[in-house]
Amino acid sequence: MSIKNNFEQHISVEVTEQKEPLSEQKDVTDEQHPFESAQLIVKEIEADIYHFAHSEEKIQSYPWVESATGIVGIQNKAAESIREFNERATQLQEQTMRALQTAVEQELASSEPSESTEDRLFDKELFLKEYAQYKKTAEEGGRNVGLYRFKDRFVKLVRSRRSMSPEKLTILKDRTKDLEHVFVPDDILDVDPTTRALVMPLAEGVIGNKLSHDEIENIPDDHWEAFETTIRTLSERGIPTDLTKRSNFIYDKQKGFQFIDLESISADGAPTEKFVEKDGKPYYFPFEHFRLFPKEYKGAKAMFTDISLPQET
Amino acid sequence: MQKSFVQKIQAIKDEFQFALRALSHERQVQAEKFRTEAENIKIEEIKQSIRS
Repeated sequence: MSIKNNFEQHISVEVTEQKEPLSEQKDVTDEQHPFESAQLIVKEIEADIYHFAHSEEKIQSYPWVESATGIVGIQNKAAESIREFNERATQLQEQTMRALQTAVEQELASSEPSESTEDRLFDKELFLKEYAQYKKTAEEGGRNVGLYRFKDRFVKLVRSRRSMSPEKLTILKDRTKDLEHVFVPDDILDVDPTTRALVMPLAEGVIGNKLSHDEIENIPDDHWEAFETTIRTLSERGIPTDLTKRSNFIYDKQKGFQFIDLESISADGAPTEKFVEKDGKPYYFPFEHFRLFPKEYKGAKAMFTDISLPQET
Repeated sequence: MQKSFVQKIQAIKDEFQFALRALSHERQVQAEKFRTEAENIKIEEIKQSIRS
């Protein structure tokens, strides 16, 4: 064996980047919830980082020629270089995650629905007929769908492919029957293949995304405490709360926050684990249905005010 | 024309992958440099052991 070959055998560094997806990658589409799309992108990023780190390990663990004077110095320099590259890759990943989080938050904030008040009682057939007229406007608004306040019912149109079976709806009602500020749909109507209408008892008050800065500042502490208690209770009962849109809540000066957009439950009643702890610090997932972008917990008010509002253009 | 949400996040991913590829390349160049240095040292040592 020639010296050169011997060296190649012992010192060659494997740095080939063979990028392969870890699993079958689903495409990102406009129809998905922004969190779902982001989750797919995050998986790809994690796979890329995994491959990068994996080849780093190969370099690090490679049996450099032993007992040669002077090689130790190179080993140390190589180890230092690996640390530096790992750090830069981590920084790149964190920077990308922040950019994704901002994009998701802005997308959700820009799709807060508009509200309209209907001066009559809710009629299912009439509503479905009228919705067809509004459909074009709704499509032009992207994910923007509407809130309709009838004299006796509150109807929220949501873009979602997820559907809740009547059985699950019954379980949801049962699990929340003692929570007076939680409004579970009486009915969920499939308006079209991607849009559903949640028909709920009428919740009085101002829709969350229309609360002004002053109105928010004047909310008493006991209302914030009740807001957080309800979120924690729902989580313990396996019901996620969506803290990515202010319009999922209606605020009334007497009653406090009312929850109007609950449409999923854990099958077995297991807690959703919305609140978690990492390195001794408390965090929460804004929408634990997708366990992405945890935020540091800074109190009930911050959980609400941290929900992005549309950027002014 | 304004980018859609999907286009925006795809662009973020593309930017990340481009930067990671550049980082991989840079690391490869570094690793090659260390390998060459180690090879030269080892060759020198072997030469010296033959001479002595």
